[in-house]
Amino acid sequence: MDLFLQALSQGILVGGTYALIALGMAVIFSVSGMLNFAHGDFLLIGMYLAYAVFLSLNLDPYLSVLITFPVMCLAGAGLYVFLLKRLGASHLLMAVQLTLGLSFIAQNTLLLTFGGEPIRVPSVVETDLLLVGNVIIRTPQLIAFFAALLLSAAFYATLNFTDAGRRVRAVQQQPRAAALIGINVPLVRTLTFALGIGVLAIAAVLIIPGTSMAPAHGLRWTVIALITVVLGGMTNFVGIFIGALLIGASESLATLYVSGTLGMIVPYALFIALVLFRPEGILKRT
Amino acid sequence: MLEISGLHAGYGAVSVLHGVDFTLHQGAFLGLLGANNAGKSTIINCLSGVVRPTSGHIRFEGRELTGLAPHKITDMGLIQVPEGRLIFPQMSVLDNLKLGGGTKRAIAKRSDEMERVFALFPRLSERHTQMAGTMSGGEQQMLAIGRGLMGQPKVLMLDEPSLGLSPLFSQIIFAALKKLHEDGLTILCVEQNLNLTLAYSTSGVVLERGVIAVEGSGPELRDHPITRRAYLGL
Repeated sequence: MDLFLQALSQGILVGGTYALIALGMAVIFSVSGMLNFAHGDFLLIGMYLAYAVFLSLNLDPYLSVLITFPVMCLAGAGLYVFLLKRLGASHLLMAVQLTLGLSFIAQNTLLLTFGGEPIRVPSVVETDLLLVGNVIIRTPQLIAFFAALLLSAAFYATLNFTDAGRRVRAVQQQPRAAALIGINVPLVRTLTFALGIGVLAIAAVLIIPGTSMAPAHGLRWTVIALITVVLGGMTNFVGIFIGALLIGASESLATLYVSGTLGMIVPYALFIALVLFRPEGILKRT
Repeated sequence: MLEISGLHAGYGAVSVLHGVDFTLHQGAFLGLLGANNAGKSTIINCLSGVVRPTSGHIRFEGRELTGLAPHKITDMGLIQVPEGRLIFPQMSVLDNLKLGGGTKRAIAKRSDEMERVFALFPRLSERHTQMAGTMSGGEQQMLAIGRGLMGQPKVLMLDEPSLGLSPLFSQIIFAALKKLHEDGLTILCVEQNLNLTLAYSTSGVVLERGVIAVEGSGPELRDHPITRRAYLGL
């Protein structure tokens, strides 16, 4: 029982961070209809940026986010303005190709700059533990979970209850009408891209303590974000958050109860089953 | 207040407008009439900045509009209620209206204007929490007009407001437009429904294959041979 609780809590805590990464992908998808297949690689760029800041300024990742967040926001805005915007909405397949290409560029640039060896960035809380009953909880994972929960809630509230959020939803639901009621559609899209990539800088520093990074990890993160977004129903933020916890928990429980490599298949098998039987996502209402 | 001169426009290799000239005076309720494919929607979309004219001029209160982005034109008070209504389906009626009043010009008067819209269309007030996409076509048209009014238009342009509506709802919509006109709003209404439009508007222009074929007051246009030709292709 203790082992079960241990694995479950660990999975749910990790799921929080998955949610944050997936939310970035979902906001980008919602306003532009584009799935960013380089999403995981941008996350790794965020992690390596934190590493670079640590090397040059000796800053803890939790502090370096003050530098990496604006940098990643700019990267997101640039990605939209200089690349994806030029493709136009009618070239979805080209957008997929373009982001896949970016994924290779990002991965190999990281490889050239930092090498392929797994790297860890030290942090103050890296080895801190909490004991709840017989369950051991690693402090950085607890911080990551609550930070992700808070940010997701803030995202949700902004989107649903503020003028800025209503504009984003207007562009998502009916871009032509949005322009006709005076919304600067390209600006809204640029800012959303900036935020969708920028949030990866935050996710990066939440993941860093206690986790190693290597340039080849990008695709794995992209896949996690992608299946989480699909599970959640593409643009349903509550669904995405729940989906992320589900993926995290199933991943963690499967490695405990299903032996070896087979255990790593479980989240994906669960995903395929859900897509087959509930293609609209785990929550129906969008 | 709105002058269109020598307007040419098209889509790719297909040219649709071949030199359109007309003027919309302050306080007018002008019907822009014509059969399918005459180019009515293209004109209104040029005015809104959605379609770029290939040549010609559009002047609104003395300012050249050609080349401006749609949101800038809306912010100047030239507001289009688009064909097919295009309300935001997964938002409440209230959120749709709030969005319409979100421009720099309009935001300060947002709650006052909302009261006026609810007075004009009480049905919207009854349904203010409902998801816009679940309303009937006529109610959605009320919402689209209400959303346009929230932006404090100097000129309200409507593209086929009676499209897909029952005769009863069409009458309600046009009666509302007439009331807005009597309160001083300048209106440009693109319509296929000749008799309905001429019954409510002060004057009309008839478009035929990308040029203005005839213009005049309602009774003049109704029985004019060119109007009949433009509609029936005789």
